[in-house]
Amino acid sequence: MQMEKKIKFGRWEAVTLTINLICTKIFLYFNRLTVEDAGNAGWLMAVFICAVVAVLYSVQIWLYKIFEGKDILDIAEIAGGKVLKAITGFALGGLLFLLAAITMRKFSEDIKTVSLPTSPLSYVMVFFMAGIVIAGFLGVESIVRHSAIVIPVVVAGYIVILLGIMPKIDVTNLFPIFGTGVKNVLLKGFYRTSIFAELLVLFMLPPFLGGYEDVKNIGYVSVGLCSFFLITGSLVYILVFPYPSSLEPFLPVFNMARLIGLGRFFQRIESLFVFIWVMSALMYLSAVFFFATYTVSKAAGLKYIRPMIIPFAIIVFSIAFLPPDLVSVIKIESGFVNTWGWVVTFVFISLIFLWARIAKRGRRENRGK
Amino acid sequence: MKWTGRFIRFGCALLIVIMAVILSGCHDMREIDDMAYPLAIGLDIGHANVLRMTLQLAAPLSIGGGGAGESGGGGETGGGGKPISVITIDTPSIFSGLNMVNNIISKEINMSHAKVVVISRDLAEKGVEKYVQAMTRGREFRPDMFIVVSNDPPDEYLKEVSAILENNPAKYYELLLGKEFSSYYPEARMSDFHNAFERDDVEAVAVLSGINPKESVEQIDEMSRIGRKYLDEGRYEAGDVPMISDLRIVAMGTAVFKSGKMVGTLNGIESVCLEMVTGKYRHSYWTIPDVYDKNNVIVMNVVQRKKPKATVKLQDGKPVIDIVLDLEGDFTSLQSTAEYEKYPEIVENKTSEVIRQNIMSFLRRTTDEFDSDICGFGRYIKGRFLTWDEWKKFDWPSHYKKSEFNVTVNFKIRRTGLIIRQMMS
Repeated sequence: MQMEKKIKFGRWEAVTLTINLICTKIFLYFNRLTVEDAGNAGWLMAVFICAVVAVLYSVQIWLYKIFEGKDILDIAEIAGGKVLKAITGFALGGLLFLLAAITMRKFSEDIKTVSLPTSPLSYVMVFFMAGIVIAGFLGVESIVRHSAIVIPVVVAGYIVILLGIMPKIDVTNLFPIFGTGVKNVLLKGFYRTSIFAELLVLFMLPPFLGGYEDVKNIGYVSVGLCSFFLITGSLVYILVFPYPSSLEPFLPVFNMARLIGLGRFFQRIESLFVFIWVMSALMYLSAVFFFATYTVSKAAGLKYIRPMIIPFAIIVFSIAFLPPDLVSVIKIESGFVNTWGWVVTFVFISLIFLWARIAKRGRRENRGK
Repeated sequence: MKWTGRFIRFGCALLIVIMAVILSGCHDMREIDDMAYPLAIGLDIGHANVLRMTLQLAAPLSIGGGGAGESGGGGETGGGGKPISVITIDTPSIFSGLNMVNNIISKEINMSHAKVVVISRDLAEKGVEKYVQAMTRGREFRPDMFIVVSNDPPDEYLKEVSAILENNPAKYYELLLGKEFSSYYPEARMSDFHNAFERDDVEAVAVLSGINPKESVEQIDEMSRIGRKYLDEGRYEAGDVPMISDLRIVAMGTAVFKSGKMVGTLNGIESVCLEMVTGKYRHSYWTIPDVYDKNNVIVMNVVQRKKPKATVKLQDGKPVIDIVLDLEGDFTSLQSTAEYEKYPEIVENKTSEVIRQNIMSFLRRTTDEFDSDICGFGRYIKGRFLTWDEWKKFDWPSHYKKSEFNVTVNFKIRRTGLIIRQMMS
């Protein structure tokens, strides 16, 4: 069955879904990425990224205003007919599949490094595969409702880690204040808006939400909360790990959690990290995979999406194995996905909105004549 | 395909059965009983190979033997055997050493419970950066392991460790090296030690420890050439402390590093000064000569009231470092009959001056003798630079030697203990 149009979910569910899609990177690499780009001014770069994203989202949501209740594929159809709808669906679906594959590989490699060193990678990945397939079959409603329960737990765990690490912070780590330079903060900060690439999912949600106001508010709340988590994540990381040592940790939050020791009875908090990290990963992969399948299926005009889930999962599984090693995965992640993701999420989608507006106005004028 | 409720229920049941089978044992299943857990790692210069590595392994059955043996000496516990076993091996690297040790012992070595790394003085002077880097990369090594530099070879040092007051040697290390009281040595953890090697605004330090060679009171008598003269208890370093004990390991003093190599040591009182200046000092007893009677002393429990304030400015290219310390103390012992409780100012001034002089002398050693910014004053001048390139170009380590210090010690006596006025004549 194609997506049930009757399915509706609330703002809270949509906000938790979006937060997890964007903020999962904090557990994986975001903190280190900001330091790699801007040195100890990485937190300033995080502030800049969030500010730019807030502006870009404001523009996008203004462009979206006249398409209330429609998702990005419907709008692409308004702009350029079925051809543009297909192109848009395959482009966005392709990006989401890539994100799912890369993230699945990265998460599995990380788990192998941290917890399951002797297990084969494929064995670790099979569990994520099983999770996304089951989530795919259960559908979007299950994913978002589950996310509304799981994400507050993940956030609470993350805040425990941030609070636990407070005794280790050193304010002098923030200096020199501009790190490796203002140019890096601004220039690299601009293309690192790709961190918010998953925000495109927000424009697939309108059919499941209320009206325009709902979409707008969900977007602003999500961007605001994500900004808070990303900035605090980067800031605390820099306050704990002095530059250039902060370039070293493979998993920033895991490394922070390893440092927490409050007395002799409150140690090895990283076990909490592994727990929240896996929950967050599974939610992320389930959502990204589902929306990738949904987008491609809708673009291809397929009536049902369930028959596509297992084949697509196998494709994602196979793509995840293409990079020969972990370093290659990190290169793809930072050199491609997190460098060019903004083109798809902000430029491509905005152009479609703009085109659709023009097309809509043209048709209205033609009708008027 | 139509998904009926029955089909979904069957699928879920099948999934649960499969999961139950798969998850009950996986590739990474490891029985805790099949592991051997080293509590301490010793590193020294090798002879048959580049590195001599010593592992002090926990014997869990002896440790868990119960409290009956806790009062026994020499590490013998109620479990009937020694709670530790020591293995020494010459190896090209730490991890190769672990491989080799796995050929000797039946269980697999797991480093996740290692509490302390003991580095020989010879190796510390040669440089330990590569070994520290290896342990930081290793998944099993904890970042909160203590770093100790030993005057004695680690293989001998670790054999002498005997946790008499605790059943568990791991607890012994945590209590000895992580204690808040005493402060005659710094709290040196692996993560800070490693970070300091990569920074140029602070240098690394480690706990200085050694085996107490004295076995009889006569040996203490022999070392006393100055007679019964008053001498600060903090004037000693590990190994020369005048004491006899079943516990032969003494931690006293600090090993000072510069650019990854050990360049000198601080004694107990200088270590206290280091702790005070870096704001890590908690509390300890301070003994100062009586103001009016040099045959008596005044003992106070001194506490750091708040973190020290340090500012660094450049004058004619020379760093001028101002430090303000806020301390407070309680009278613990007044040997003379003077009514210091009534007029504490005189003791406060004297104590401030004694502490100030000690700190000045310690700081001068860090510039003149070690040329090593172990207090991390570089952190306070970084704020004057806008970018990392400017900071690197300034080259703080080359400026530190020229530093001048202004130390202000604010000391207040707050309490007098359980006696408010001494009535002895």
